[in-house]
This record gives sequence, structure tokens and C-alpha cells, in this order.
Amino acid sequence: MGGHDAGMEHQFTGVSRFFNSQTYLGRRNCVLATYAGVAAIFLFFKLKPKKQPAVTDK
Amino acid sequence: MTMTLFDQFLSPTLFKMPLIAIALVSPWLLHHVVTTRFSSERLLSVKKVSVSALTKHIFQPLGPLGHKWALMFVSLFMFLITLNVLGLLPYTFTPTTQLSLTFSLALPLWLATVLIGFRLDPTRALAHMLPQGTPPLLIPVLIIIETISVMIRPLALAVRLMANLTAGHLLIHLISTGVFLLTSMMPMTAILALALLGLLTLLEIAVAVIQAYVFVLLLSLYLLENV
Repeated sequence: MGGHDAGMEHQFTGVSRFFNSQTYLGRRNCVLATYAGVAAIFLFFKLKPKKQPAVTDK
Repeated sequence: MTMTLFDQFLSPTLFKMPLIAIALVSPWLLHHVVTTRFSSERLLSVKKVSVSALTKHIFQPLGPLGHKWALMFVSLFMFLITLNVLGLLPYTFTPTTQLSLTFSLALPLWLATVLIGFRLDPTRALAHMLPQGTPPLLIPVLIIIETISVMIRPLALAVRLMANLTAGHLLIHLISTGVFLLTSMMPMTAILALALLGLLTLLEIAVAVIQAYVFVLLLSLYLLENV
């Protein structure tokens, strides 16, 4: 597809083909990955079971 | 009842009926009705020239898709500029000093630009959250910063307009109170303060016009990113 980053795809290989800060696709995937990471961290702390305080004999 | 400096910004009521509706309708009552005559009167011609100059300036960078917003932006500009300038008259209420009004204008229009961007090209809309050429280590930080800066835009738009007008009105109120009190005690100081008040009033007229323009210009720039 045409665009200001058209023709730059060939210089990226491997993972950087999909995650880079030059092409539209790479930037989009970086953004989505960051959002997914933030959501995962949030869910991790939200769903982590809270430690119950130990019951001691008095 | 003791009056405070901020009482001028209270939404006016008459027997518990809100008068803000009248304040919001008054700009449209003051504007001339569009005439079908070939040659219109002087004031209408001046208005036509200024409106066409504004339209050309704001919509030149925008493509055909953005031109659909011309009526919305120009009418918003005329509305805001009339509200702001009318509010500089003595004993009038300025609706744009209410965050409820400015935010209710800013939020839907900003949201519309964002949704249009996602609808037309979601890849490009998401890619805007990461500036091109960002070093790899800075990518997550910059994405979060750009997302926050995009989300805060409607609040910034609303507060900018509200705060500029509120500050200006407050200053005018303070200095005019000072002039009034100093007239009997220190006449020369009162004259200096009166001169300052005149200059401040001119500044506030400029601010009233500029803030309406900035509001519409920023919305057009947000639209430019997404269209």
C-alpha cells in the first residue's frame, strides 16, 4: 500500500519487520503490544490473591 | 449577602430558572440573517470576508474529507467569539467561563476526530501513538506518553478556554474595584489604574477572539491527524 513509509519494509528482517518505529505496521504493532503489556500487568495485580494475615492463638 | 470575586461566574438564575439558555441563544439572535440579495449591507460583507478568510486558512491543509467539517468549525468559531466578546460588556454573563460548557463542546468534537481516524484507517490511527524514528528502548515510554497526551486533549481544550476567560474577567474585576476605591483616596494612582484597566480591556478583547480561534484551530489540527 502507498504511504510515506512505502518501500521501507524490505530493510527490516525477522521480528523487526513487525515491530519497528519506522513503518505504519511496525508502529501499530508496537502500540498494540504496549497496550497488551499494560493490560497484562494491570490484570496480574488485580487478580493476584491477597495474602490472608496469619491467625494466631491469643 | 457578602459578594466574592467569583460570584460573577455563577450561572445566573431568575426565580430558580436558569438563564444560561438565554445567554447561549443570544449570539444567534445578534447575527444577521443570511440575505438572498446580491449585494448585502456593510456589516454582513465584513462578516462574509472574515468567515471566508478563516475557512480558507483552517481548511487549506485538510483534504476533501475534512471539508465536511467546515460548517461545524465556522459556526463554532462564530459562536465562541460572540459569547466571549459579549461577556466583556458590563453586567453580562460569559457562558464560556463555565467548564461544563467548554468541556461539552471539546469532548464530543475531539472524540469524533479520534473515531473518524479509527474508522478510516485504524492502522494509521494507532501508529500515531508512536512517533516515527523512536529509539527502541524509548518505544513503550513514548507510547504511554503519547496516549496520555491524546487523552488529555479535550480537557486541555476546555480548560484553556475557560481559564483564559476567567482570569481575564477576574483581573478586570479586581482592577476596576481598585480604581473605584482609589478614586477618593489617591486620585493619581486611580488614573494610572484606569489606564491599566483600559489596556487590559483591549487585551481581553484580543484574548476573547484569539481563544475562540485557538479552540477551532486545535480541533482542525486533531482532525488533520486523523483524516
